[in-house]
Amino acid sequence: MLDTAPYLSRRVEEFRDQVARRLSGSLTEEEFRPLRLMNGLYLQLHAYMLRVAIPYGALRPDQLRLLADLSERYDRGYGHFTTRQNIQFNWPSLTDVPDMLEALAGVGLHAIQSSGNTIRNVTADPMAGAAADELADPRPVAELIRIWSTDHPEFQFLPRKFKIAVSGSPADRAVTRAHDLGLRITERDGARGFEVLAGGGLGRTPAVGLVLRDFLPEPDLLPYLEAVLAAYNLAGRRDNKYRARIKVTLREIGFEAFRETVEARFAALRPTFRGADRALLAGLRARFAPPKLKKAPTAAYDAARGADPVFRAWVDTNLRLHRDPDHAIAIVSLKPLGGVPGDATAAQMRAVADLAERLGHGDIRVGQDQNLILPHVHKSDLPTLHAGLKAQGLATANAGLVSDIVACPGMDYCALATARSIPIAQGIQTALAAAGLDAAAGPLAIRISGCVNACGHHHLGDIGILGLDRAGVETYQITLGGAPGPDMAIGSRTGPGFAHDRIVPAIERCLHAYLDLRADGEPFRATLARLGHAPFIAAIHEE
Amino acid sequence: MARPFEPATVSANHLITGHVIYLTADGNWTPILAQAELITDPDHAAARLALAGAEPATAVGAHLAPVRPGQDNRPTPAHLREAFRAAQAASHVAENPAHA
Repeated sequence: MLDTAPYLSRRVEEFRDQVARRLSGSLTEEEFRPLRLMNGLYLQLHAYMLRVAIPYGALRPDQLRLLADLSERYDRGYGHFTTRQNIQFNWPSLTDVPDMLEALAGVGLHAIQSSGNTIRNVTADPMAGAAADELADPRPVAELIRIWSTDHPEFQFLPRKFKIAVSGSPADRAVTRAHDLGLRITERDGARGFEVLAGGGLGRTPAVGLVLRDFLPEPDLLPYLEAVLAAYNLAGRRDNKYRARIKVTLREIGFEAFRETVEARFAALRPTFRGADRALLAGLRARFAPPKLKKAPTAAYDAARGADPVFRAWVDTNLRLHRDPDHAIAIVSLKPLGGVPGDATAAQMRAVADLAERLGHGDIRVGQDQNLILPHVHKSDLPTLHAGLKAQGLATANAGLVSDIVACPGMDYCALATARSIPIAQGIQTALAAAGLDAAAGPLAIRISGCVNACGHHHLGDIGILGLDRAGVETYQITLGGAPGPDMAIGSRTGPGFAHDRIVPAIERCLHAYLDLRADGEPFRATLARLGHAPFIAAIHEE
Repeated sequence: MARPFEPATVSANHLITGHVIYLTADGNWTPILAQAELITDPDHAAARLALAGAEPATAVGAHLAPVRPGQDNRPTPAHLREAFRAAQAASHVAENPAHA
C-alpha cells in the first residue's frame, strides 16, 4: 500500500505557510486564491467552504468520525454530502483550515483537486463490491486513477475541470454518461476492459457522453487516459471558460478528429508504461477484496419484518440487492422530512460510523443522491441497524421515493447560485407529506439546482427544477423526463418558470396528474413516455 | 447615456472568518448592514472602494453591494442575494433558528 502520509504532510505544511503569508500580507488575495482553491478552500456567500474529497465515495469509520470531529471543532456541527460523493464544511475560518487538513491527512483524506482545473475526485458506483448486478468492483480502478491523477504534473492546469466516473454494473449508478470521461467495466472474449465514454456533462450545456472506445483492454487504461487528457489539454479552449469543458472541445474540433489525436498519442505513450501501473492495480485488487461475510440464520429479520410495519416500510424502501442473498445494501437516508438534503450532524456521522463498524464490515459509502450507504449488512442485523438509525433520525423510509430529493446548497451557501434550492426541497417534501403523495407516487426523482451549473443534477430528474434570477426574483423552471443510468436522458423544459411561492404547488399538480394518468403500478417515466409531456405541462401550468 | 448611480454600500468577506462585512462611514467594518455607510455618489463610492481595497488584511472581495435607503436612511438590501448575505446565515436557519 502506498504511504501517502509524507506527501500529505508536505502539502499541509505548504498550505500552512501560504495562509501565514496571506495573513502577513506577503501574498495578495489574487496570489492566494489559486493556492487555497488547490486545497479545496472556496470563499462562498457567507463564509469559507472546505470541500473534502471522499475517494469514490468510500469511507472507513475512523474517517467518518474524524469528519464528525472536524464539524464540531471547526464548523457548526454538521457537514454536507454532495452529489459528487464529497463532503463540504460551510463555516471554517481560514486560520483553522491548515489544522483541519492536518487532521484529515491523519486518516488519509485531503481536499487536493477538489477544486480547480484539474482531474477532480474520481467517483464510482456507491454500491461497488456489493451489488448483485455487478460485473466487477470499480474501486480498484478508481483508486488507480486517483493515484495516477493526484498531483500529476502535466494535468494541474487543464483548460477546465475534468471529472471521471467508473462503473462496474450495467445499471451505471455512477452516471458515467454525465462525466467528462466515463469508464464502464466490460468483458470481451473473456478479457476485462472498459467502454470509454467522453464528453458527457451537465451544467449550462448538458451533453450525453459518447463512446470514444468501445473496448479498451484493462492493461491499456492509464496510457489511454493519459492520451485523452493530453489531447484535451492541448485542444481545449483557454479563452472562454464557458467553452472549455471537453464536451465543447469535442463539438468544436469534431469527435472523430479528437479520437484520432487520442489514438496517435496513445500509440506513442503505450510503450512507456512498462507494467508498474498493472502491478499497482493487482495490489489494489487485494486491498479491495470482499469482506468475509457472516453466515447466520435470517429468522430474526423475517420476524421483525412481519411484526414491525415501520421496519417493514424501511426494508421495502431503503434496501438494495446484495450479491449474497443473506445480506443487504442499506441506504441511510439523509432526507428527513423538512431537513436539508445531504446534511448530517456530528452525532449522526458518529452513529453511522459505529453502526458500520458493528454491523457493516466498517464500510460506508456516500451516494450521488446525497445519502449514505452501508453496503454489507447481514439480514439478521438489519433490525438492530434500523433501531440505531432511527434513534438518530436516519431511518426515513424514502430512498428513491419522491421525498428523496437531491438539491445543491443553492443561494443559501453558494456564491455562484442564482436562487435557493434547500427551501424548495423542504417545501416540496412538506407539501407531499401533507397530501400523502410520498408513498403513493412511488419511485420518482426530483432534483433541484440553484443555478445553471447543475450541481443538483436537475437535468437527470424525472422532475428537474432549475432556480434562476429573473430581474432580482427567484424563478424556477421545471424539466421532465431526465434520467441517469445507462440510458441517460436530459430532461426537457416545460415552459415558463414559477416564482418562489408558486413552484411547490406546480410540482404538486404535476404529481397529481401522474397519479390520475398512470396505469396500475406504472412508474412516472413510463407514464411520461406513454402519454408524452403535454398532459403534465398542462397540469403544471394550470393555475 | 450612463445609468444613474444606484445606492450602495461597500461590502466584502472577512479575511479570517469569511463572514460578510460592511464598511461604515467612519471607516470601520461591521457585520450589520444597517450600520453600513449608505453611498449615493459615484465618486465617493470609488473612494470608499479604494479605501476597502487598501485593507487586504481584513477584507476580501470588496465590492459595491446594491441597497435601498430604509428607516432613518439606513441601508437595506436591494437584491435577494444581498438580503441573504446580510442575514449571515442560510435562509432556512435565519427564518427558523431551531434549525441552526
